[in-house]
This record gives sequence, structure tokens and C-alpha cells, in this order.
Amino acid sequence: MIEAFVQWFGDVAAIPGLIWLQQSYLGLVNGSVLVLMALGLTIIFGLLGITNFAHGAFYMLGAYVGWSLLRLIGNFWVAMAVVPLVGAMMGLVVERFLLAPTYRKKDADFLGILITFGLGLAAPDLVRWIYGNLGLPYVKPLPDPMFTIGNIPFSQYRFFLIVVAMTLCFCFWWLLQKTNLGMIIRAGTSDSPMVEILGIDVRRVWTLTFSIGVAIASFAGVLVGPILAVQPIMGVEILVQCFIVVIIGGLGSFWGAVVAGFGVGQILTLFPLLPHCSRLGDVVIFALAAMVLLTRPQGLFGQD
Amino acid sequence: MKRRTFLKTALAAGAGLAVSTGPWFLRHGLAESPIKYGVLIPLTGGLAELAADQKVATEIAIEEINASGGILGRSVELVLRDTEFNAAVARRKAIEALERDKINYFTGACSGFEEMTFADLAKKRGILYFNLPQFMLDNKKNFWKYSFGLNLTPFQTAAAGAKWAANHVKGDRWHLLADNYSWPKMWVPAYEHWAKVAHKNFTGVTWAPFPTNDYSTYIPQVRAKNPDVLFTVTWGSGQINLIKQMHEFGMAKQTKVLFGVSDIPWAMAAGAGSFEGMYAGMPWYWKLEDKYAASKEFNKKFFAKTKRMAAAYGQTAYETPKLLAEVTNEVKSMDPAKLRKALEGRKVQYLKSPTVIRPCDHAAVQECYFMKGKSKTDMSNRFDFFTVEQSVGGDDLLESCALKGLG
Repeated sequence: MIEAFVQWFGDVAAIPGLIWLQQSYLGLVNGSVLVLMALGLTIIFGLLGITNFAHGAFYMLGAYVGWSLLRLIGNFWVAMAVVPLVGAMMGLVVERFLLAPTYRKKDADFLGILITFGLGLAAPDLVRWIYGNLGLPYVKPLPDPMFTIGNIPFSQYRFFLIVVAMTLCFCFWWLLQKTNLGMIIRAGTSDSPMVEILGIDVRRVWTLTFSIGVAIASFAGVLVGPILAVQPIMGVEILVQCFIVVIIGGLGSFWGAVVAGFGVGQILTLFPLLPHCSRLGDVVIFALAAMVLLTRPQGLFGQD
Repeated sequence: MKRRTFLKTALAAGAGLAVSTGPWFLRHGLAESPIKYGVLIPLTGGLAELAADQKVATEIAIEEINASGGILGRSVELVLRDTEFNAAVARRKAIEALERDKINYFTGACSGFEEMTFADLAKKRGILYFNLPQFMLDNKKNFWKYSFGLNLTPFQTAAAGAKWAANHVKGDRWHLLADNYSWPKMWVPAYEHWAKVAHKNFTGVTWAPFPTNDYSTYIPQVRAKNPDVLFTVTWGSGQINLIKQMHEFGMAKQTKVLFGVSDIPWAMAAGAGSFEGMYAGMPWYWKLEDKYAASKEFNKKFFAKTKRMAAAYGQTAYETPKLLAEVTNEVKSMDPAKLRKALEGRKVQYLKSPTVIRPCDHAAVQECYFMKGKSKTDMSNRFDFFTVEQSVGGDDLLESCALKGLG
């Protein structure tokens, strides 16, 4: 067994540094998408207390709406800019007409889960019915690759994805920390009844927050369109990873979503590089989530 | 004549007249019922787009069969069942088709688990099963004397790619990137064997867990092997991603990328020009219409129904009922033993070059076609992804039956 480990260690040590660099770069890309998704999910839960099982579906719908707009307009950048607006509208409709009627009911939390779970199941079938089961081709908005280090190319579009995700994170942080709306959202996350007593129309804030969360998820969907297969089931795997991120980072925590998102992205991307460990990354993140739930259920950055 | 006798006679004569000249359903009810051709494929769920082509291709074949007199003088009726890409559903629907619908021919599958399920059922019931996707029943473990299939075997497809690469690509470093499950694993022995035969260095396999939708995390490992030829064995949405990512990560320019097997739906999903600079193996491609008139005729009918060109899965779905009709009419029986005797060693030709069904393992000895991907500007229409570079065939693409333990 020691020999096997020594052999394994030798194999790992033999992996060139540039390969590790490229892998980390890819981890940053994957982490960026997870951060965007987790931000939307965590803010929805933090304020509304809704575990949004339809989050992956909104991500998938963003990719499909983006594809449809691309066919209509012919310009990826314009389509990318419009998708979050469409996502926000979807969020508004879902929150107003499906979720809002359940807020004052006895089992509001459970009803919210049921409704979003149902949406998560129905959306892929609706998309299959309209677009078919086959993946949809996206254009390459930027030429490949951007630059090479050694003989290793680093993708231009993925670099763009990282920059956009980080910019959006900053904007989101600024919204939460520096605006009145952000102050209300943070206050509502801590004590929603108090915010209501102070005369703030929380219903409107909830609608807005849910819409923002869905807009971010759908934006993440259109961002990955050029690099991943756009298919009805594309939201399923990322939803699970997203929940892992918010569990580890903390439900309702901005920094939790960011740190855990990038961390999980790196784990999932670096482990396949290790010999015989390609699936171990999935095990590790689930194990981390379990440990956090046992030792610090509010998450690493969540409040007690 | 007594009155009763007269009435009875008149009644009998009247009934006979009604049967011979009456409504269709009466005549058929009392005469011969149509032959039921069963096809079980995933019309919903994963691979539904391939199943859609299988369905249309089968319909075309059955129309042609009926137009030329049917089977044993009887018309053929298609009995289509949706496996929902689920093993339990596939099994249940197959049993229903066999017991309730009483299908005369049992064919179908779009994937390995369906194939195994149906072959197992056929074996337990002692009936004929005709497989549509890649034929994986040609080994001692899975062989069933009444199972057949016109598609390539995994070993055969891999061997075709390796043989082509050995003869056409410089450099001796071969590497394989594949999904980690049973079907791609069946390809590895062929690559290893042909690497030895051609004095190439097979540097091994980078296994991506199945299902993987993003191969970006495995590409750096592949690059580290510095292959002259990179074989890939993937399917479905995974392949669509891989096609995109081969370009994105510069692999298409750095090395010769050969997709062991691909099909039109994946190329379309990846986008126009998606295979530029890369190669793919296929058992059939619609452009063979330039060489085979039958393919042209088939393409015309398929396009009229669907407004697109058929996937290679459409080819076997078309050829299978044609072959079964031909053989049944020849032996004048649907008895599995008689059909088996007629099928083994048979040379068939429909949409491509001739195929021979090897008696010992029922593998179809045939050609595999190698395509070179076209750029977006070179495509003459939205289906024109490839030029047919070369066909590779021969008995040497298959392992010997002795080696397989099949005598």
C-alpha cells in the first residue's frame, strides 16, 4: 500500500506546473459560474426563506432564451445583456403569482419548496417540447484561444467569463452594502417582521429580490452557452453543486457564496488531475458540506 | 328444399359474400392479420433525437415493404414503443409488446443498456432479437444465437479508426480520451492491438467520469501526453461539449483528433463548422448518396418527411426491416431457427457497401467511413459537416471468434 502511495505521489509530482496552472484557471472559471448561481440562491433564501429548487431551471432557461435572442438579433453581446432582464421578468411572474400567495399560509416553507421543485421538473420538459432534446449550437463570441503560456492555451472567452463574474459580484456587493435597497435586503434577511413594522413594503422587496436572484441565474446560463452543451438537463448538476456551495458558505451570506463558490470550483477541477481521483472531487465537496452541517450548520460565513 | 335449409344456405352464402366484398375490418378480421414489426426505442428522454430518426427510417422501410407485397403476403404494421431511456421501462414495454401486442419481430434499442435488456429477454424466450445501435452481443458473455445487428461493434469501430490513423497520420503517440463506462472500455483492446501492429506508442487512456458534460478539466492531462493522434469515445451531450472544447483548447490544431464515432445530431448541436480540422468515424453518412443510389433515394424520402438528413442510426433502422422481410420471404417462415440459418453468412447491401453477417458471432463485417470535418464556409448546407475521406473495412477489424471463445 505504501508502494502504491509512493507511486501515486510520484505521478502527481510529475505533473508539470503549467498543467496545474491551466487547471487552476479552469477552476476559477467553474468557480465563477458557481459563485453567480450561489449568489442568486443565497439571497433568495436569506430574504424570502425560500429554498429555490427551480434555480437550475432558470439557469437553463437563461441559456435557451439567450439562444433564441441570438437567432433573433444575431448579436451575442446584445442577447447576453437582454437575458437578465428576461430572467428578472420570469422571476417576477413566478414570485408574484406562484409564491406570494403561499407566504401567509401555515406551511409556507414547505409550499415554497414544492412549488419550486415542481417548476424545476416542469421547465426542462417544456423546453424539450419547444426546442427538442438536442443541444442548441451557440456561436463563439470570441476567437480561441487568447494567449499561451509555454504551449498551453488559455481560453479568451473563459477569461471574459471570469471578469464578468467578478464584476457582477462587485456590483452585487455594492448593491447590498452601499444602497438603500441593499440595506433593506440585509435588514430583511436578519429580521423581516421588523422591516415590515418600519413601514417598508416588504412584498415589493421580496419580488425584487427574487427577480434579481433569477436574473443572475439566467445570466449565468447565457454566459456558459458558448462553452457547454445547451440542453434541457443542463441545470440539474449545477443545482446540486450550488446547494453545496450555499451550505458550506452559509445561506444568506454574500461572502460565503463567493468564497465557497470559488473553493468548490477549484476542488471539482483540480481533483481530476490527480491519478485515480477524477470523481473524488464530488465526494470531497459532499463531505465538506456534511462536516459544515454537523459542526457549524449556519455555514462558514453565515450568522447564528 | 325445405324452408329452413334454404334459409341456412342463403345465410351462409350471404356471409361469404360479405366477407369477400365487405368492409376492410371484416375481411382482415377473418382473413390474415398484418405482421407486427416491433421497435422499442427511447422516443423521449436521452437520445430521443436519434430515436426520432430510427422511427422515420423504419416507417420508410415498412412502406417500401408493403408496397412490394409485404411479408409472406401480409402487410406489415409498425408497433412502436417508447423505452423512455430507462431500463425498467424498456423491459416492461418489451414484455408488453411481446405478450400483449404479440409482435412478430422484436427489434430496437438506442443504447447499450436497452440492448442488453432486450437480448436477455429474447434469450429467455427463445426468440429472435435484431439490435439497432452498436452491436455488443458478439462476445461469449452476451452472445445469443438469435441476436443480430447490422451496426458496427465497438471493437470494430475502434479498429477502423486505428487502422486509418496508422496509414494516414504521421507520429507514433496515440492517446485515448473516453467516458468511463462499459461501452468505451470495449474500444481499448482494439487501440492497444492496432498500436502494436502499427508499431505505435499507445500512451493510455484519460478516463472522464460518466456522465461528464465538461471535459475542460481533462484536456490538460491529455495535452501532457503530447499525442500525435487523439482518439475520443464519447456520445450525446458529452460529445457535443467535447467537440466545442477541442477547438477552444487548441487541441484540434495541436493534434489529429479522431472522434471514434459521431453522428449528425451531435455535429448540428455543436454548430456549423464544429468539426473543422477534426475527423470522425461513422457507419454511414448521408453524403454516401453520391456513391449509392439507394442512399439517395432514402435521403429523398427521409427529407420529405422530416426536412433534415438522417443520422447513421437511421441507416440500421431502415436496413433491418428490409433484411428481415427479404429473409422471411426467402425461407417462407418466421421461425427463429430458419431465419438464423438464412442470416448467418448472408451478404447484404442496402444503403452502403456490402455487409456480411459473420456466422460465429453475428458481427456485421462492413466498412466504416472516415470523415474530415468541413469549415463553416465550406458547408454547402446545414447538414454538410464532412467530406468522406476514406472507408475502412475488412475482417481484420474484428477479433477472431476463436479469441472470443465463440468457436
